Amino acid sequence: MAERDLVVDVRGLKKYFRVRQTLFSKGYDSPWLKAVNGVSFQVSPGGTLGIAGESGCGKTTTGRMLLKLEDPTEGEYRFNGRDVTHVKRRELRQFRRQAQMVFQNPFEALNPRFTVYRSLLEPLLIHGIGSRPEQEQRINAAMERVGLKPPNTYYEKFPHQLSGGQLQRIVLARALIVDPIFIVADEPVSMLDVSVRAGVLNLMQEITASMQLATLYISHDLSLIQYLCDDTAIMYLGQIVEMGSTDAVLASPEHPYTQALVAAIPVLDPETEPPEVKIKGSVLSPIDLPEGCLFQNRCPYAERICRSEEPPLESKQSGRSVRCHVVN
Amino acid sequence: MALLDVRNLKVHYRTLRGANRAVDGVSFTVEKGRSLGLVGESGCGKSTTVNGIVRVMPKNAFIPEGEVLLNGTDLVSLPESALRSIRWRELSLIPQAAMDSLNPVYLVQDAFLEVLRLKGGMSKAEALDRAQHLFQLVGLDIRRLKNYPHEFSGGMKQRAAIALALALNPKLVIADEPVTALDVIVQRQVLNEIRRLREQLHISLIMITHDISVVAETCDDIAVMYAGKIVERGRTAAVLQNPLHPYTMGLKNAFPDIRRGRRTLISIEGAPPSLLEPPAGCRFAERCPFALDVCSDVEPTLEEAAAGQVAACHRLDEVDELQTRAQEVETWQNVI
Amino acid sequence: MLSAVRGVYAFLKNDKFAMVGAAIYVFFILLAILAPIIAPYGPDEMIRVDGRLAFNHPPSSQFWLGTTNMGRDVFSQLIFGVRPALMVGFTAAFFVVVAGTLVGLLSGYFGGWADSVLMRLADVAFGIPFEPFVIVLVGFLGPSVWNIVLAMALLLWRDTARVIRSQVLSVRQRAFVEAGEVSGASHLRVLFVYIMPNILPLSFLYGSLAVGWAILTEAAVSFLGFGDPNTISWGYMLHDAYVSQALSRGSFNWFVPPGIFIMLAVMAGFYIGRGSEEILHPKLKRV
Ligand SMILES: Nc1ncnc2c1ncn2[C@@H]1O[C@H](COP(=O)(O)OP(=O)(O)OP(=O)(O)O)[C@@H](O)[C@H]1O
Ligand SMILES: Nc1ncnc2c1ncn2[C@@H]1O[C@H](COP(=O)(O)OP(=O)(O)OP(=O)(O)O)[C@@H](O)[C@H]1O
Ligand code: SF4
Ligand SMILES: [Mg+2]
Ligand SMILES: [Mg+2]
Repeated sequence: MAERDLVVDVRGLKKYFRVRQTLFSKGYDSPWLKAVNGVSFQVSPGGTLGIAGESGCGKTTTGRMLLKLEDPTEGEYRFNGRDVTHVKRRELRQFRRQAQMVFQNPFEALNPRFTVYRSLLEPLLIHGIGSRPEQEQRINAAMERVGLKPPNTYYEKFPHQLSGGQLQRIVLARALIVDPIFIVADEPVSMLDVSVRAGVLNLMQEITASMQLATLYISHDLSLIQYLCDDTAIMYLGQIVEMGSTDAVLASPEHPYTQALVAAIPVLDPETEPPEVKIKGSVLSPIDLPEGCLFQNRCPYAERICRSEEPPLESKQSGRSVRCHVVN
Repeated sequence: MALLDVRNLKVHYRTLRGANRAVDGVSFTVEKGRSLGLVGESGCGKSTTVNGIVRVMPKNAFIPEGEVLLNGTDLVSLPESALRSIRWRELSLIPQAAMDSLNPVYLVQDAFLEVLRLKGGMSKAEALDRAQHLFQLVGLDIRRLKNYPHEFSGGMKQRAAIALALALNPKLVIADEPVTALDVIVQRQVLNEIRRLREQLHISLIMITHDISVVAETCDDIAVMYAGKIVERGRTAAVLQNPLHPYTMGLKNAFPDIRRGRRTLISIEGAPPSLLEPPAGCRFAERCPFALDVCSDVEPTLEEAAAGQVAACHRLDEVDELQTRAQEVETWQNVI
Repeated sequence: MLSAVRGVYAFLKNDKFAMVGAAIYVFFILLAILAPIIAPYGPDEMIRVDGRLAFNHPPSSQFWLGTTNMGRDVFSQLIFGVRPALMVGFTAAFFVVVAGTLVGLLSGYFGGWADSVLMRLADVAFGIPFEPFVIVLVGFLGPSVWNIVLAMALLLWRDTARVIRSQVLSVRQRAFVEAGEVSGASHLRVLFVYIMPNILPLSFLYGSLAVGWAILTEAAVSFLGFGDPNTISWGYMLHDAYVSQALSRGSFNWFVPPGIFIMLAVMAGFYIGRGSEEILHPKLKRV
């Protein structure tokens, strides 16, 4: 696919935060927390990319930068052919229609003082879309698309009167109502009960496919990524350590961290002995990173070079990229 | 005799709008050295059940009925003072997010010393010794005893909570969502730790979780709760391979299994009923694709339908057919 | 706006103390409206009985609470005193709340230098002792009820601003605000459509506290003799009673009733404000 057809194209994206370690340290001499440390990936129309990795590895921060809720410290972000890395808030009107988000916590993502109808009307008001009847039509269509039928039975309801599954559908409807081309879904079902998760997942899958949306799924749950995504990027301490087609990455993980991550998923079959997880220790602090590979302290295969030189994310012919001296 | 025998336990909450019958007659047993996983969706009464067992409950909770026999002694009718000497020594509870409820201005060590000295009657030196031993037992660095709770990572907090629960050598440990907030790798480490300790110390375990694969990995037996009742109970392997209750069948459908590759997930639409006025019949009837008229009128009771496996459903004799139908997506659509 | 009123109502319904507080205010408002009907005399009418000035009468069926040393009816003064009390209370509260809410909103939402400047200003306001400030200002601008209101508005916004700011900081973090941003809402829209409705109930509560405060302040200032000599307020009554040595004469009927009314007004504000903790730290109430 030609580059100009990409919806999302980020290169070397970084986000550093200043952190106050003590009450008295001043802003300018406090250290940097490297939340996202140079990530690059592309998403094309209809493409689904999953970002997985453990808590604090920078998934949400990446997603927030892609939605321009956070400005990158470094790197380049092209959206739908346009460089939006440093665009001002006022110049983002078009972008705000095209890029939408599905939030982690549906109980929080809707204004508690808005009715369902008002929540769905809001984006239309902001962008001045449609006359009144047209607006109602759009809202109707969006509600039906997310499976809330008949729509008018929900219009006057407030968020606290609905279940998590219903709320998440409304959040999805709100995202779709402005005809976006890109959706970020950050842990879209982690707050929902297992019994209703599948409904929301199937719906999102069906909609993003039929509307040819570019979608970024963020989750710590690999089984969810497997279910939804064509491609997967595994993050560790702000960097992508492995990326490739989901099936390949999960079936034959190459990076030692991905291997551990896959092995650690609980086994649903009680008769099967769970595979061994080879890594030990815990993740380093993103404030004080060492030279070399960021995974060196936990890696069972680490060699001398791993402690001195940072491994590059190397792409192979198979389409897989891995950031590891030993594997490459 | 079973170590723990819970019989028709009910735990209700007084609320402004009447009694919330959060746990409404659950029965199960835990044998010595065995482990039971309690699963079910949020709000189905898992925490309420175990809090009722140890009688550490919010003020508005009360037990209108039921028995909790620990080694034959009924905890429900035991006076508070007698119960206090049983907690920690006979059974201990690791509450949901246990370490986050510790006072942040005290060291982790202080929590251990308090239990060991006050409940265990140890001297300070003995208690410190024991605390260090416990930390080693769960694989924590003993120097970290002198940390504050917030200085621990999620996995370390759970290990410390487990160590604390083991302080006075209880025979039964009840853990409420011990691995829920953890990343998979840490979760595996903690689960391995729990498994190892159980074998080493011959402890019985009740573990609450909403993740059936965690139960599959850790527990001998499983009890599936729905809206304040146990709907199915049995050996974990048996229940997961041969679910008898439609809710269990649905739960299995809804659960992704990465090792079996992509398969369409099916959800159970709708939400559990209000427990302020629970429905007369089966509490799952509203969401159940197999519900008959009788289901909404008559409450099904737990019956043994396979060896050692019980379920509460009016259609247990058709279970083979239901299992087949439960695999189809259409079955679960447009139920409500 | 409507939903904010609804929020306040829902809160009142669940809190018995707040209910009592609100009832006291309603009672005062009724008194203020009906004062000319309820009070048998004018507040500064010098009453003559059989041609003689009826001064220092003890309570009787004619003068329920007796009369002052100038022959004025204490009961009538008490009833008419509700009017300046509420006027001071409500106007001062209005300005305090509007100023405090605006400052809190801007400071909490925009952060950065706006926040620094506004919060330093609040620190300065906190540093100025309140009562002396009022007295100095009134001494400077002349004794009038409005100058007391002005003095309060100039200082008391600080408490409201602080609380509103911290509330804004926490509301701003919530996902639905971010959702507004993703939808492309402007700063103003986020501020006034998303954040403000969620803090208005709190402003209302701070307003009710301020009403009590303002009434107390007016009373204190008047009692000290810096009040508006043309307005008969409860504080003025106390001042009047004090300088005419009602206390040493044991004329409890003269100074106890205004004292009780002041206390009631302050208490009402406090009772309503007391429950604000719950609004400050709401738990997710799911059914
Ligand atoms: N506004 C901020 N200021 C300072 N540090 C931040 C900020 N936002 C995030 N961080 C830090 O950046 C790192 C990455 O956070 P992020 O939320 O992106 O992780 P995540 O992968 O989404 O984790 P989780 O799975 O827990 O949601 C963390 O160490 C976090 O503490
Ligand atoms: N103190 C309380 N007062 C009133 N109702 C309560 C109280 N605590 C819990 N409940 C209600 O009792 C029911 C069962 O709650 P419980 O905490 O036992 O559920 P759970 O199965 O542990 O859920 P989760 O998976 O979310 O922890 C819920 O409907 C809950 O709202
Ligand atoms: S009793 Fe009826 S409603 Fe309940 S699970 Fe069985 S078939 Fe379904
Ligand atoms: Mg996140
Ligand atoms: Mg619970």
